[in-house]
This record gives sequence, C-alpha cells and structure tokens, in this order.
Amino acid sequence: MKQISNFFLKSCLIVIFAFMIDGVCAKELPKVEGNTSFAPDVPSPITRNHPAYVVVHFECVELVKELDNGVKYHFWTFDGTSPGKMVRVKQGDTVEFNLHNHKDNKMPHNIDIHAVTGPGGGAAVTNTSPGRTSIFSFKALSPGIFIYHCATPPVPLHIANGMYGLVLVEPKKGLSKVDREYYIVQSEFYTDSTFGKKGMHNFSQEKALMEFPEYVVFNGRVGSLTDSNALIANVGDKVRLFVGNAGPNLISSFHIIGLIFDKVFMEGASLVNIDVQTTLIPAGGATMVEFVARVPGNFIIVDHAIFRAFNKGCVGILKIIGKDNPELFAEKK
Amino acid sequence: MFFQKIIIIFFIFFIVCFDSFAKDKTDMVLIPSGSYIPLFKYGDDVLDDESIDVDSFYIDKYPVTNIDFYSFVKKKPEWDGNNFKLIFADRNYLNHWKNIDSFDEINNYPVVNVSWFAANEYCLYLGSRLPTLDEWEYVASSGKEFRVAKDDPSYLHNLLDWYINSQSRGVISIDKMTDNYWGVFGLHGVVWEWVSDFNSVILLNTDAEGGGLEEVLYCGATATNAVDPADYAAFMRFAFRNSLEADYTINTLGFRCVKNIK
Repeated sequence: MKQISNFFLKSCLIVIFAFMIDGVCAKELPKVEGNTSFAPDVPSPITRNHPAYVVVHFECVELVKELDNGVKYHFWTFDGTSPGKMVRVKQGDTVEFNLHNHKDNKMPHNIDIHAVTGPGGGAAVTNTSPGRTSIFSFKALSPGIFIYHCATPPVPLHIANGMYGLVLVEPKKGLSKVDREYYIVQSEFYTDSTFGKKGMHNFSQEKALMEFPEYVVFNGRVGSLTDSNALIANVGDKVRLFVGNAGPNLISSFHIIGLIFDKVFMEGASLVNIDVQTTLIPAGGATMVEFVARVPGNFIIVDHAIFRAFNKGCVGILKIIGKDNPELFAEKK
Repeated sequence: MFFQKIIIIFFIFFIVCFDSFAKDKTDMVLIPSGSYIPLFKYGDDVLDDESIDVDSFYIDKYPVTNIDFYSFVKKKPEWDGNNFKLIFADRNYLNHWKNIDSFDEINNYPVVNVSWFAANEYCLYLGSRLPTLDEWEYVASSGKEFRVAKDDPSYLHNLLDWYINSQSRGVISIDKMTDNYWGVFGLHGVVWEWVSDFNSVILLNTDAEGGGLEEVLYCGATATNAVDPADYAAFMRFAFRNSLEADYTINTLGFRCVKNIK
C-alpha cells in the first residue's frame, strides 16, 4: 500500500513538474522576422518595447566578384556580399538563426556570432554541408555592436575570403535617435597578385601568414564608399556609424579626416568616450561612433595606418551637403 | 568489302569489350604498407613521431564514375534514383542524372550525389569496401614526385588551388585527372570522397572534458593541436567530413573503393 501511494505521489510530482516545464515554454515570445540590411544601410530601429523571438536567415554563397575595378576574387560570403547582412535585434530577444549553405558551394561553413553566449558563438552547432541548413537559437544578453564570421577550419581562410558582418543588439531602452546610420566593415584581402593588377586574384596563404595584405578595404571592395557610393549626410544631421573590423589580421585606426567623433562607444560596448579623433577597432571587434555633421564637404574615411588608405584601398567618403558655416571653417583669401 | 566490314565490326567489338574490361575492379593500385602523419594527433594508434601505420591494400585507380554506378544501379534497382529509401539517402540522391540530355556526357565523370550508404553498398557489392580515413589520407599524402608530398614545397600551394581558385572548380572527367606517386588519379582537386569512418572525429568528441577534437573545429586555437597548421587543405577535408551525415548527398562528393590483400 505504502509502495503504491509512493508511486502515486511520484507520478503526481512528475505530472506537476511537466506542467511547470510546459508553463515555461508556454510563455512564448511573439515571432518576428529578423530586421536586416546590406551595407552600407542599417536596419531601422526597433520600435517594440518587449522581447521577441527573432528569426534570421543567412545563406552562404561562394562566388566571383570584383574586389577592385577589373580585379576579380573568389569570395566566400554570407548572402552574396562581403560584408554580409547587418542584423538588428534587441537585448532580451531570442534569436533563431538559420544558416543555409548553398548546394553549389564546395565548402562547409558555420557561423560564430560574437553576440552569442554559447559554444563557438554558434559555430559548434552550425558546421553545415553544401545544400544543408543548420539552426540554433541564442538569447541576446548583452547590448552592443558585434562581429559575426564563419569559423569553419581553416578559420583564417573563411574570414580572409569575406565571411563576416555585424549584429547590433540594441539596449532595452533603444539607442538615441539620430538622422543617419551607416554600416561599415573593414577587412583585408591577401591575393597572389599585386594591388590594382587587372584579372583574377587568388588567395595567397603565404601573404596571409606574413600578415601582408594586398588590399585593405571598407565593405568588401575598393570604391564601395567613394564616388557615387559615398555616404551622404546633411549639415546638422546627427550621424551614427557602426564600424566593424573583420581583420583577419590588422587592427584598424579608424578616422574621418576633418571631423571629431562626438561620442565613441568604445569597442562597441557601453563605455562612452567623447571628442575622439581616431579610435582603435580590434580585429574581430566593432565600434559605434556618433557625430554631428557641422561643416559641408567631402570627409575622407580612413584607416589612419595611412599606407592602407593611400596604397591598399582603405578609403571611403562621407559627403556632407549644406550651407557653409564660416564661423567653424572658412578659407581665407 | 564484306571482309573489311567484318574486321571493323570485330575491331569495334574488341574495343567495347576491352573498354568494359578496363572499367573492371581489377583496375586497382597496390598501396604498400607505410605510415603518414595525420592532421591531428588522436587515438591510440599514433606513434611517438605522430605518424600512423597503415597496412597495405588495393585502391581504385579512379573515383567511381557515373557509368560504374549506373551498372550497379541496374543490378541493384533498390538503389535506383526512383526506388531508394529516404533513410539511406536524401532527396538530392543522383539528382545530376535527371535533366541531362545524354548520359554519355557524364559517363566518365566521378559519380556524385551519393550517400555514404549507397557508396558503402556499391563497394560491398563489388567485394571491396570504402577506405578508412587513414587509408585515404595515407594515399593522398603523396604528391606526384614525392612519396611524402610535403617534401615538395609547391605541393600545398597547388592543392589549395582547387578549393579556392574558381577557375578550377567543378567535377572533371577521369581522363583529365592527374595521378600521384602511386598512380592513383584524382585524389585532390576533383571531388570530395567518402571514407568509411568519416564521422569518427565526432565519436571521439565524447571526450568533451579534455577539450579534444571538438574544440579544434571552431576555435581559433585550431592550430594548437594540429601537426601542421599550414596544411589548409587538410583542415578543409577535416571540416567537410565533420559536416556530413551518412544520408547526405552533395554535388561535389563522390567516392572510391579499396580491397584488402587476400
């Protein structure tokens, strides 16, 4: 008898426990499609004030694209572009990440998202064969701007060939309102040819090991932010840049010639520095800078390790349009 | 005139016979026993100098071709693209046989889009088997001139070419393949190949406490366990095999068989 009642008691406990678990699962988050964009665009700010279950899809694509005018390179990418899409979520969101590897690819790929708390940043559970899909979820615990990259061995090669981008985790109360936001990733390319030489460039393992790139570029190619691709702002605009450095090797001395960053969210985190001329972005790191566009003109965006800007392609232009402000800047004849 | 015709017919007949004879599984290469240095140190078989001993065996001179596999499927219709069981291969199985104008074009191309189960069954049907990872890597560790390819400085460079240079992408006919030191064709630069224990690395991961091989799959520390961290091609094969499951079929994944020495 005692045995039977014991059995009943245990069964009841199990049933109650099962309901409790169910209760936890039942507290379902609203499911939303991920807020993403291609560089240099930034996904729009998140307006909801509650966490959500955010579904994001990436597809790994291996393809030949231009690295410079007349210079072709065989890129490995997320979604056909280098950098891949920028993803915007909110602190407290649960992100379901779907990594598709296109069937015509030769390589397996995975993803290590620096916003993830978990093995490999997701890489441990996403090594995906061509034609397959891996899915994992993570909770966005910490706010900030984070790099993601492919981390399939040999890891340096997957990064060197173009597989990276940024994830923004907005703090719970959101970011302050600005007029313009842009998305930039700096990276290097190690090619077996020389800078600017027309034709196909292939990856050079020797140069990569020596950390001697032919190209250092913003947003995956020379000229991605110049001429008709220049970033635009109006005088008086508050501008925010999300800048990642994918490396794979170099540290970026990020600078815009002719203006001072009002605010730098150091290393993309919560600590704010003010009135900064040049900020460091570590390889595999990112930063967020804010400034007001005060004076019109072309402002040149560089890695101030200046040979990279002058000779290796690391140049962008921010075109500020509007009325002169002679009090701040004037040419004296 | 009539006599000439007879001769021509005989001649064609002879070629056809000879051709099918050439495709026979006797077309294997004897690999003498020896050792090779694996990418990672693992298991109990690793000798003090980090090399692994491999017994002698026969290996297919070429990857199994579409026409080879077609003959197999004719004999074993349960492996036909219409009859196969989905637990043994995914829906992409032999997909490249559909939508082609003529089979002739791909006769001599390595068969791809075959699962491990199908490849394994094919080899068993012919009285052979899939190579082990160590057997495959042992044969593939030779270059053209050198028994140990790494003694040739240009070896790794050439090897990387297939993986990275888009010009050399794609499956090619066995006639266009190059052979290595042992006279085995197309080990590198054509297709990935199944091995019998492709997922042995995953099994080893049960030793999670020690960090083990699971770590090396995604950590930047990959290189710390590797015997030669510059051997990117080996890392790629390693990562590729790790991503597989036995029912997977892939556009660039084929196989060849080996046979024990009686």
